[in-house]
Amino acid sequence: MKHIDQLRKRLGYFLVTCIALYLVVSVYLLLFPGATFINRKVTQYYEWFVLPGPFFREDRIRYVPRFSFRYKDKTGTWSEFRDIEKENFLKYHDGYFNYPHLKRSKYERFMARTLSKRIKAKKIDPAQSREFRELHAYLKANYLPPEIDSVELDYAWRYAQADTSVHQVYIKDFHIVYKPF
Amino acid sequence: MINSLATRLTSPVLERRPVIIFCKTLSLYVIVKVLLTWSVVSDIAAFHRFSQPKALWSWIVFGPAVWGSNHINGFLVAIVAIAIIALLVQPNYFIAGILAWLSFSFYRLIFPIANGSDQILLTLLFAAVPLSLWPRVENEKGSLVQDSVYNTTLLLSKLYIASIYLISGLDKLTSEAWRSGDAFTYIAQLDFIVNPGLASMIPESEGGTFVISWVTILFELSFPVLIWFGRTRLWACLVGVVFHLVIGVFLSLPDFAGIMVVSYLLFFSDSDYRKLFGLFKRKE
Repeated sequence: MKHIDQLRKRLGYFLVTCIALYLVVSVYLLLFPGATFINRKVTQYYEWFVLPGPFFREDRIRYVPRFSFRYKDKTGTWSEFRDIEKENFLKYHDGYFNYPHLKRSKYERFMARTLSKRIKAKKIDPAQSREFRELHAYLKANYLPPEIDSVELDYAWRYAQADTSVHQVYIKDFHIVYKPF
Repeated sequence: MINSLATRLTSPVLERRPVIIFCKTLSLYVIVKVLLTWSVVSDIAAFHRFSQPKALWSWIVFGPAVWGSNHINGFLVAIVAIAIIALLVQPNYFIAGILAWLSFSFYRLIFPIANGSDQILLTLLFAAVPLSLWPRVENEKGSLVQDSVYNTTLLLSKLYIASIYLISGLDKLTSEAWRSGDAFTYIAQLDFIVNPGLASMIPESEGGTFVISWVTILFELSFPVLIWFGRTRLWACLVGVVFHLVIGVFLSLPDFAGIMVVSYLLFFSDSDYRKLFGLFKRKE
């Protein structure tokens, strides 16, 4: 009986120490963003698992992207530009059980954004990138007709402004015209 | 205070019902999430290339994702099947562990469409493993350790949920855009998240955005405090449910609303459930 009480006491103090450590490390990482705990990788996992957020950060809510594409058929006529991300987003709001459309819209936004990041980061020919091939394969499977001459991709973004009466100018990001493969 | 906390953490588990309800609701959430994203996840698996694990531990952790990227339907069937079992049987370490493990791979597969709700879901699924508390260890030492780990995980999970609000609240408090109310003017311009049918309801006047900004900040800062006291807990949860439903509908974040509401179940005690069930019984 005495032995189990001793174990209970030790275990209790150990667990209190664990909770205190959790609180100290969390407060430390919150007060000093960019600081490391043990090493960078452990800190990343810790922040990911234990300290999610903050959500709706100022820099995130100011970035307004716009992705659209069009294609030229064999007769040389260009189609209208399509903003598929917006189309799917609106489909989600058209009914009660259209959740997949919301996620599809998010996937399309993700692909355009990652391609933009790749082009900026690596300064490579976009056609050589994995991100470009993914986007093209997705468009080909879901939106592009089988027989086309070329495809034009357009990605731009703007900063949301506090004064909405000012004309909102989009900044060109990538503009790619290519022959489908 | 330290002694009292240590005693509390090592005391036998008395209230199981709230955690059992939480674990089962979490499983239900996984089922709904997988079923609703099935078609999109299939597309992602077809087009998005996943980097192959290199280290042995990485293979063990992400093995299901590697298999799933080539056999997406089989993987999704497996995760739904495990979640259904978790929903039907008594929470246990084995099933909860497999569900958390598969969900980690699921997260990796849905990474392009994931948001904060998936991150929170994953952490809660891992917390659900020690919270399962079955099979019970028969000897005294074993059950002491088992109960203590359970109590500590429960407390850490509650702290985790509270910290989500605190982190967001503090960030907003230090942000000029949130303090002035401009943040809502920015959000209103995010046409890829704002519900087009309700966009006109977001106030345009400076006073209106200022008020809703501060309501958001005050809620996020007060929730992590009010949730710990019996008198205010149910009210905090009630306001929280309304808060998340409004965000879920206005800002097209139904999954985030869902997981936050599910997480509130952790804070309920047996007596809260008795009150709740008593309310229905009286009505009958």
